[in-house]
Amino acid sequence: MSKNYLLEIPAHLNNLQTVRDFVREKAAGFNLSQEVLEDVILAVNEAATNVIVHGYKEEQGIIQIEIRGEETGGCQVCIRDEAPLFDPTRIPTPDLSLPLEKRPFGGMGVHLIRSLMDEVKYNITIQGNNELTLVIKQKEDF
Amino acid sequence: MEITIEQKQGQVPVTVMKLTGNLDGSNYQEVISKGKELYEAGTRYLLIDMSEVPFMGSAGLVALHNLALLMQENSLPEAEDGWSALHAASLASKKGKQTNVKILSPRPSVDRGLERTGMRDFFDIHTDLETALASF
Repeated sequence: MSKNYLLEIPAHLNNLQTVRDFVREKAAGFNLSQEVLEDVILAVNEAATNVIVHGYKEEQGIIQIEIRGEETGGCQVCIRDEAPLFDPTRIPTPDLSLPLEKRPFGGMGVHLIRSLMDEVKYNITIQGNNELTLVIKQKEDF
Repeated sequence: MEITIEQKQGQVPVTVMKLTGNLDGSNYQEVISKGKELYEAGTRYLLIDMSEVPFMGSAGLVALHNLALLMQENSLPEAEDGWSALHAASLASKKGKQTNVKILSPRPSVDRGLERTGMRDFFDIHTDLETALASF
């Protein structure tokens, strides 16, 4: 039977550590390798950071993190917020071939999420809020 | 996050900036501000000791990017102008791997973040302090 864990927290940059600690603690029981666990933590950090900075524009808001272990292995993390609707999966891939001085600052959060997770899905909840789902599947060689 | 500074001597004076703690959106601007302070005090060669950084988010990459260009004497927007200003800045050019800012002992998860974003291509990464200092 899969297990679900939920965290609801004010969307504030100072709460990113709490988000990471929550994911680390709960995902530790989902039979992920250490490297994959760190990937999940980073991906969720990036998603949460984007909600706080770009979604709520560092104004007041709530962010909800729901993490679920899959029976087949791996886990799924949903990040939900009430900021203006925005689908981050539509953000184009950055050009990593650019030299350092021609790269814009930032813009790596979504790229990291895509590269670290097996699936990234955006959805509008029935309440009309943003929901980003990150899926990591069980790796065969672990 | 704690930032400690030490002056060392390689072939040139090198400032070692040791970061202790997690580096994310809540504190990356402190690193940039400290870098600007060092630059104004004359630092041009910076070694960032990341051996005690268990986690770095993409905001940490913004800090490293800023520091690299700062030490090459490119002008930057003020940190207090916020994320958008830092995001939108464009800079003068000098191609290839920059040599003014280097990284010491990033942890595996931090190193993976550098690799996955292509940022590793722009920084010399060292695992030994003396070797790092001698490389400047």
